[in-house]
Amino acid sequence: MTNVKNDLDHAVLQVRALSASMGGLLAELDAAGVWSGSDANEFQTAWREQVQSNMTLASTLLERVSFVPAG
Amino acid sequence: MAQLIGMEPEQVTGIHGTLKGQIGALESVSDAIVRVRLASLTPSSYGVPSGSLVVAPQSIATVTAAIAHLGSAKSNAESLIAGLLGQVVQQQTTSSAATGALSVSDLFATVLAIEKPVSKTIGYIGYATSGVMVADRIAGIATLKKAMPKSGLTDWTQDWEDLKTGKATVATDALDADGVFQKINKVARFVNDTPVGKALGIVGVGLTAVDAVEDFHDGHVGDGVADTIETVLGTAALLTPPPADVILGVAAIGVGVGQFIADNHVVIGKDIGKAASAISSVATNLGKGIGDAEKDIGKGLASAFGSLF
Repeated sequence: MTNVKNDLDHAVLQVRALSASMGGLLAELDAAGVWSGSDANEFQTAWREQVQSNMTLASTLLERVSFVPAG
Repeated sequence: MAQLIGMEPEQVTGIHGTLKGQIGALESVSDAIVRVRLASLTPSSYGVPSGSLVVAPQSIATVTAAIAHLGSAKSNAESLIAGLLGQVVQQQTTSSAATGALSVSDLFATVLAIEKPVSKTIGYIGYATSGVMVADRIAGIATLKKAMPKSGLTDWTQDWEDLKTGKATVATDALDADGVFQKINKVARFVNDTPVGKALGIVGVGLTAVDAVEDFHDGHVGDGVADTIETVLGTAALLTPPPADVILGVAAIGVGVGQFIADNHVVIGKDIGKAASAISSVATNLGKGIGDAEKDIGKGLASAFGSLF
């Protein structure tokens, strides 16, 4: 590992990309005829609250990170 | 496959698989961030050149918190998609009842297929305690037996040795093994798409000993059944929430066990007790894996098999 900042920036992008991709899959799941009903709604809600929110928080936090030159 | 109310299982299965892969990717990203943190704490240990940017000391806690959030996201996602599998099974069963393809009361069972990387042990089949007329069941079982080789279910009966030697223990982590859900779906398709499957569901699949069926119908395993039984049925499915219980709800050791015993009881000879013990162990582990509320299933299985030998 020679470039911490680049690695972290890349990781943030990956987290956001994964979050978006998972969101897309959840939308597929929610599409007409795939899965509907109360269980489906509960799953969607739980995913947003337990997965999506944590990923968003993580990426938001990582974007606030400051850097200093290694000594 | 039959249209299912409220869910298209195959599509959901596909989405499940993709989500699972993405959860794996999330773990990799999280690992990378962990390395970033460590490299920032001790740059020289990670080959970071002097002067290269690292996370500032005051931001280390922020990175740590982010890692924790990612860990939570990952574990929660894993839990949710595991539950998703249970939802599929539940939806399939409910749908079958609603469409008339199967009655839930008839289909008092679902399938649990367990496959471990090194050793495979497949158990399946619960049994119906009500709703299926004995005569219908007998006729259906005979037909099902003929259909079995084409059903693919017999593929699940391999590697008895692993079971017998105790290598094949059943643990909760095995339930996440790739392919488990596909196997469940495979049986669901068999049940939904074939006349005999529609008639009987998976009840009695693999049974050939009518006496055994009747014994099980009566809720006991009679003496001498071991000589004639080709399949020993497992126990009940749990068709009630929470979803995880649905997929875990069938503790069953079926075709492979009975078939093996029927074919090899002479060879097994004095070691038959060992085989029974192995079976009981699996059953007990299944019970443990299923959870406190369902431990009786494992105990019941162990007891049932114990009474056979």
